[in-house]
Amino acid sequence: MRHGRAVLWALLLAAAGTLYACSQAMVESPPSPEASAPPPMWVVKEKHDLTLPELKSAELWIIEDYACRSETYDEDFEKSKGDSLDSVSDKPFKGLETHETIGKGSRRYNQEELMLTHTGIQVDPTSPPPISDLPRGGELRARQGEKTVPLPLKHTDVRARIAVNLASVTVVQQYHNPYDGKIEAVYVFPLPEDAAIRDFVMTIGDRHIRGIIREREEARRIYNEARRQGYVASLLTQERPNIFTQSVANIEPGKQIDVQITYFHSVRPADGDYEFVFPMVVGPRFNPPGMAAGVGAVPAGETGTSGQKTEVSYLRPEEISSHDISLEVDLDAGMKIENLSSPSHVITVERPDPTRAKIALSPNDRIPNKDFVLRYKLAGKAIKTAVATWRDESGGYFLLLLEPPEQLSDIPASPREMIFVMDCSGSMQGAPLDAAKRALERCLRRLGPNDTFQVIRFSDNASAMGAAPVAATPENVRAGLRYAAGLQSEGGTMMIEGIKAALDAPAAPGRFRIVSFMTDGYIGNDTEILGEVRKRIGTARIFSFGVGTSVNRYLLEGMARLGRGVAAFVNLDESSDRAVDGLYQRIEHPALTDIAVRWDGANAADIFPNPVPDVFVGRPLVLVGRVQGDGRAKVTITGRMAGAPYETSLDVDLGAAEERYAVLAPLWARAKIGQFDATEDEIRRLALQYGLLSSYTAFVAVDSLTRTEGEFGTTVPVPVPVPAGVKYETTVKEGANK
Amino acid sequence: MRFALLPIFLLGLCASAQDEAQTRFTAYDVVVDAGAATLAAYQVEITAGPESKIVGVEGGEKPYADAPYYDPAALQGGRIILAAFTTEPGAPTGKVRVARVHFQETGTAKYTARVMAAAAAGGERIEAQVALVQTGGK
Repeated sequence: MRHGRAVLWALLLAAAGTLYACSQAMVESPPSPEASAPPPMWVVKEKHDLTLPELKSAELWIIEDYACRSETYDEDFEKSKGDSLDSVSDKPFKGLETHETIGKGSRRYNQEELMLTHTGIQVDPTSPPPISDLPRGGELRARQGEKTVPLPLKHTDVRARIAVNLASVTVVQQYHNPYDGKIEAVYVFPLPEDAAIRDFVMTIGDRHIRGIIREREEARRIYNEARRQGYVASLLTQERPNIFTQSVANIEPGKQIDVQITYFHSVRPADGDYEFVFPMVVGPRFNPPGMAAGVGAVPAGETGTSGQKTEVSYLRPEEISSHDISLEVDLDAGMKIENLSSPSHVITVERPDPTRAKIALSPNDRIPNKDFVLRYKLAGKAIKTAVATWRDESGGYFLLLLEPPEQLSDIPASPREMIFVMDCSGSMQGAPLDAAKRALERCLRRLGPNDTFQVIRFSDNASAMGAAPVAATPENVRAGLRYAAGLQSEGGTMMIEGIKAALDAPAAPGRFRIVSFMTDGYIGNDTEILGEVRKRIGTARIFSFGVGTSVNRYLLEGMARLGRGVAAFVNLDESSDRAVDGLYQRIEHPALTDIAVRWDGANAADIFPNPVPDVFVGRPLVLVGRVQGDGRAKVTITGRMAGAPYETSLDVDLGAAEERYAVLAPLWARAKIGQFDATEDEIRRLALQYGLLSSYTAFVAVDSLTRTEGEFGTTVPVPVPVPAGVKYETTVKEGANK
Repeated sequence: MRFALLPIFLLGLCASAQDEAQTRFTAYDVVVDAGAATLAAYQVEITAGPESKIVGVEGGEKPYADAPYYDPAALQGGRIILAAFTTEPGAPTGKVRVARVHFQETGTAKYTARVMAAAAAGGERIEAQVALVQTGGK
């Protein structure tokens, strides 16, 4: 058998390892409101006496709907009003990390649902803070009048296997028909923006039908015809690099159809940690006037009212989804794992040995309304410059991980002009804007005496703190802090206005301009915005913060790539200190620039990203490319560091490719497709050759043995909750069809 | 006005019925005959004419019940290369339904199939034959 066929066997082995097991629907039914529930919006549900280290006789009150935070602290609890519980987890409250041990049974309580107070401090449960000031998690809510909405998407099961820094993820979406008539289910969902999606299987009962990759329009024609003739069929299309639509046709009442999607991507190291992210919900996008190719946000049941090509239906605040999610990660790091944690979810962890971990979502944290984030650190100097290679009949591939040179952190940087651009649109209202303000405040306090700075806000339009950047004197910083504190959010996300304001102003001579966007990225015109950034970037660098629980990472990462900088993400459940300090660690030292990779003993080409990004402190570089050769070779990486030449090299045995690196072929193709200058023909050709989903290709599967009676029935979009922390009222337009 | 639209509506119905007559969905079982040898792995090429498009690949009987993988680079028009293997003890002998391929046909379709490679449990290459048997949409 030819060597190239090993790819197929490798895929078979990978699939065998990602066993799919049907999971039980784990979400608890919300408790019925008491018949005698009082008119106030919330009631105390449970009260627990706690004994925690250094904190005796504390009380934990579980509040229905949301929590009232303590406003009185003692000397051991020096935190401000509004701080989240996670941010004090290193304080005496560490015991609260495992919420299950506190609550009755195994329910998980969100931090918003916890109230902590010392004995003797009375909190009046009849005078809660205004609900509009609190983050909206949406989990386990049980308000009067709330109703569970039966949905065609019952459950999503996610299984990830991570070997060193390569992840293989299998997602199973379980569709069923809870209605009386035949339906077509349509679900718009997110996946990582760099995912190489290369396998698609539809399951009907015990039959598994693997989908076929086709040109997008051809796949749609096949699907539409099968749908029209009553055959069970499914279609997977890409709307954005991180937004996808799954359609399943002719689901009869009471029947279930599963769809399994498999993708690969590299797990990025950042600031000493590896971070694996699985997005769970598409945030509500704003589309500029006149746009029709965007991503519309409509209330459940009001499909077609946004006027956009792609639409996401959102549940109203009084509605909860019957859809839940389970997730497991099998991590084989190859070296000792340290500091395994999730800033987003409650997890359970098994450690079969020091180099491996099995992570799962807690059974009671399964509402798909925020990104799942898993961070892990490896023992010792774990991130080392290394090369992995693979070869099959289509040629040779490599992945290069370049560790930032240690010397970078020893060199001071030039004076900077810092431009902070705050997204003050409606989607940022409440917790996201509060988190962005905290990040901005920390950024301002960390400005150096030689820096200048400017703060720009944008929503429907843009305005700035002053006419021009000012020196970071204590007085100006105080003015900046006052300006930041007064920012309010409302209106649309005309990001182009923020970009113009930040990038069009003439750069100050002798200064290094750094632009830092603080945004959730909820826009439907991603391509236009990235095009504008490319056009206007000049010599500026973009180091942005994605703020929220379900950020548009495609936009933030894309802006960082075009701006030759780095994106960091601030979750609402954690402090922004880590992200801000990471930014300053990077910009306080020069980058390794003008990076080139030379192979001796082999020929390398098509290296991506192209151009090769700069390397910053704490941010290793990952490159993929093609390589021809089959013996020993030497890879030399050159660059410039504060004007001085830099060079490092390592030996590679191209004949020693390991089977686990078979994914390098699709990862390379995905990276090439993801280039901003990739042409339509190039994307189509590569996607078909490597079996990848793309803007111009789609997966289609038809079961020609299952033909249902009658018309194809009603199309039912799967409504989703707005992301945790995002307000429905300011992001989803009600009544457009009334 | 309503009556004026009636001919257009009827024309639409006729066109729809015509489309259905011209476009149909069908499936063929892929049966590999390994004779007396055990069939632990196979690789089969199926080729269809331009009037046929592959729209799904399904598994066969145990131990080949999982949908086989195909080589996307070889997937052009109506051509596909399927491959699967089993490590379970007691690999089957004789005629084994290893897969089912679903097609969309728009005319009189013709299919050919050949075994590119087949192997027994020990990994040794074996001689095998393949046949396509229509199973749906007749």
